[in-house]
Amino acid sequence: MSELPRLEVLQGTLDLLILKTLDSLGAQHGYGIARRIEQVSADVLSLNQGTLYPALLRLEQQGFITSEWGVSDNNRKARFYALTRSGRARLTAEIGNWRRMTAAVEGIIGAPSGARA
Amino acid sequence: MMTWLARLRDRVRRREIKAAFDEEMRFHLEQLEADHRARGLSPEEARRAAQRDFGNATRAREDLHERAGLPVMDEFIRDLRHAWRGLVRRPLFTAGVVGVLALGLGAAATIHGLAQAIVFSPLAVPDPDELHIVLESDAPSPVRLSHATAVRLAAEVPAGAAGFTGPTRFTVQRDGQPAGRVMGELVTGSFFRMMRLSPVAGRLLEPADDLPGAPAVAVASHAWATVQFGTPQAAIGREIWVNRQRVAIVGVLPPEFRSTTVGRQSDLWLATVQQTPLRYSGNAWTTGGDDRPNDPDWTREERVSWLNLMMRVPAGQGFAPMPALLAAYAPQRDALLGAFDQESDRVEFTRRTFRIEPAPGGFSSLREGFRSTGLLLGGLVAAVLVLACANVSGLLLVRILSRHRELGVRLALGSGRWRVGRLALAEALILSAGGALTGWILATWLYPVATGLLAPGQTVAELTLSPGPLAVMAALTLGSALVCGLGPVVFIARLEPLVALAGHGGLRGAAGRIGRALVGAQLALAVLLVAVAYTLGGELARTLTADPGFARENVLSSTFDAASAGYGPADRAALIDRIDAEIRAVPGVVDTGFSVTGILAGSVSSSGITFRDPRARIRSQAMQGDIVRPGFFRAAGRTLLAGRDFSPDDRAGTPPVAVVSAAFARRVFGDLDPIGQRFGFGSEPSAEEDMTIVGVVADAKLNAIREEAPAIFYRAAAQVPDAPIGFVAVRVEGPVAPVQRAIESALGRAEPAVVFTLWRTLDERVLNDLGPARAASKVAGTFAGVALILAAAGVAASLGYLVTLRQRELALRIAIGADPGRIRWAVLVDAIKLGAIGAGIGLLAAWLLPLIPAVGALLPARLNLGVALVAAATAILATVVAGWSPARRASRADLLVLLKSE
Repeated sequence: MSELPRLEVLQGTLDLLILKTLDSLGAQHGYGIARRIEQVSADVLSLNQGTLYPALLRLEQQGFITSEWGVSDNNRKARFYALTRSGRARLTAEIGNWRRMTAAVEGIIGAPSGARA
Repeated sequence: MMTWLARLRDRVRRREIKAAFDEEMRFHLEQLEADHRARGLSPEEARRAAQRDFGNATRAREDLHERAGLPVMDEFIRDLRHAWRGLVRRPLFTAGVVGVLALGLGAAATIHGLAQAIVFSPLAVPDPDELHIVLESDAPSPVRLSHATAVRLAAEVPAGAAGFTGPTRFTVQRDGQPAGRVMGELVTGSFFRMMRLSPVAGRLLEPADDLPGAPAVAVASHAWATVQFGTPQAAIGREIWVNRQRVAIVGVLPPEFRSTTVGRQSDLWLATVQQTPLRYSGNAWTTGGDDRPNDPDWTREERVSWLNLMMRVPAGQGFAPMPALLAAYAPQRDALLGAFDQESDRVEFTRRTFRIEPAPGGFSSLREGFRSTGLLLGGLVAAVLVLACANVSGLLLVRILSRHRELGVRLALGSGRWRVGRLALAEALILSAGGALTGWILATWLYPVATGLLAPGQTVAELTLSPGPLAVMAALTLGSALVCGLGPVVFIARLEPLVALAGHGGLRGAAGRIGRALVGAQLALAVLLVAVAYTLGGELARTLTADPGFARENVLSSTFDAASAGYGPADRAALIDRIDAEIRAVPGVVDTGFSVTGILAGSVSSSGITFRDPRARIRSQAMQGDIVRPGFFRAAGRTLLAGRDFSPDDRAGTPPVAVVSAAFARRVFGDLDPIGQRFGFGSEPSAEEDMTIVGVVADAKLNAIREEAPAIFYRAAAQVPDAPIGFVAVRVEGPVAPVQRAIESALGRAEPAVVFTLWRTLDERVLNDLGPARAASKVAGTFAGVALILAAAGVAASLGYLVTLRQRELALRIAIGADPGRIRWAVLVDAIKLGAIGAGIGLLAAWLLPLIPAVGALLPARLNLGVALVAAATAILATVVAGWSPARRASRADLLVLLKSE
């Protein structure tokens, strides 16, 4: 098989992915967030889905998201997470940081290789 | 910060969070399984794939557990639990340490509570921080100014200003019941508006109540109205007689508001315009001029300064109170200047300036007195607290030492020093918390005793668990825990695991040195405390046994106020004659005497007088004076040194005479013979009004027992029109109590309208005057005793353990042939050395500390070094006694037994 291996989510980017997902989808439960991340990344990113929950608690403690119990599409009790106002601000900042980071990394690896003496 | 709070909150709901996670995980896995089954996997394969996708659930749960809480806190709670279990296993040790700390913390809570109640507690009015009082620039005393100045100031200050007399005694009668004394105050009409108080019934005094001709109305305190009429509402509209004037009660104050003065309870509040009908003649500065007589109605006279001033100055509104005060005062100042006939007096007077100071707590007569006693007691409490902490620190250290093997194992296994040290701190914290709890219970018992001793007869706020005291207690607890834990933590920081494991206690001298330093410090402090306590007690004993210049036993005394009983100047002399006759008729009464201010009765009067003899050392000065009836000196046991006493022949129309005290004669006339000297109130000699000195009485401590006997002159009551006689001294024969009861019932029958204050012997007045000093001395003595016991216990415990630590070495020395007697001696010498160093430092402190001005000012006398020496010797003796048992144990150290036990 010539399929490329799936990439682990980079350390520190999980928060950004969660915030962005909630921004696009609105209130969503943990399973929904995980599915969305894998689908949108066209299954390039692989997520250890259990790690989502400590991250969600952390974001909630920081006041970026809120949670409440609701009912899923298939009529099951599920916990829905939603972005807060400060979470949206945080997302904008994180996106800005990410763009600068990738641009910098791209700049370095995209530079022409010099001839060795 | 927010995150921390959220984590703290989640720590409480950790169980809930984990349950929620389990629920979410179940849902998540079911969804994943369904996805995989939809892709065609068998149920078993779908379940495994779902679990693979989800990853390590245990790990996620652990992460959540850590995230829902603060790891530092969790660890500390674990430490606390561990320390608690350790302490519970040694109940005697724990109880001892808690007891020692409770002593220190309880004493601290008591003194802090007192300081709060007396020095810092605000009046029960809205925004008490805005309240300011006016004081003389060069004196701590509040200023008194005229009624008109107070009224003008109220118009000048937007947030409100008012004048008031402070607590004064009224004679109150209602519905034909016998007369009683009630404390009350006269206030200007703006007073309650300035205080922003609302009545619980009726209305409070308004500016209209303070206008000339306004009907006499009063506002009652909640407590008084309730006792007298059942409920505040029932008091409204009732009529009572105040100083024989009919007064209607129009309102009742809220229960929290007691007085303008800390520690007092004023039950009746009337408008200042009632001064004349009530014949109020309390504290006032009266300036008389030759140009015109003063108006007897004080509310119409600028030259009578009788009201304290208070105003509201809200912060940050840019209002400058001083220009307002000076503008209000200007007319009074001009009126006063007009009264002086000498230019020098005018110049002196124009130098007068004021201060305006915040006074959220109102006035306090206790405050000044308490400040020195309170600081002294505060110092003693701090010393006992430090001692208690040093002691506990030593005991904890000893406990840690005895666990050196366990610690060695922990450290050798890689446990961090900080972690092991934290355990010691947790132990100290639990012990301190226990000490604080027990100490608080102790304080609730001590507080009433302490208020009774330090502020006798005063209403002082109760000790309550309010945020202030709680915060102080918490801070002290934390502080003492840190101090107590310090020794053990330092020891652990320097502990070497291998040495500790080998059984040497990992000593390397450090713990030994800390232990010795602690014992030394305790001894030093104990020696110092004993010296302070003895000095206080000694000074007091000397004061008590010294001759005050009057007869202390067998002289009964009381004060009364004829004016407030409704007697005017015309019928006052006849009243005194009747009282005199009633008292003399009581069997056992030998002599009676009457005067205006009397002896240790809390009142002093002085007048400016000029001496006519050009050889006198003083030309003109304000001197203390009193007015007495013939026989007063004899009744009070005063000794006549020269000349004669007043006689019934010294009456109106005969040449005015005076008797002066020895101090007066010395100060004014030096070596000249005072008899025959003349002086008067006017600056020019006057043949009719000048007085001639006819006698000299021995000095007596009339104002306060610890003050110098005043230089005082006496005038004959019959030669002074309107002399406000208000003090009676009765010399009795045999037991005092029955005579006192007979006098009280005779006067109660004969003069029911006149209220006599508590009858007391002059000796009781002396003891009462020394009340706070006696209290301070008792407390200091108790503290010193506690300190010595604490120090001795500390020495015994510490030496015992120091010997235990050296047991191997000592046993080895004996095993290889050392003489046990010499070993015993060596340990004892060690103890004596320790005692000598500690006692020496204490001795040095007792000598040096009073040289620091701030400390010296608090002590009534230089510390008695002889006593410090005795205390030092006692301390050394205590170390020898305490060291005896360890020394004996050391000389009997048996290597075989020791080796077997290991």
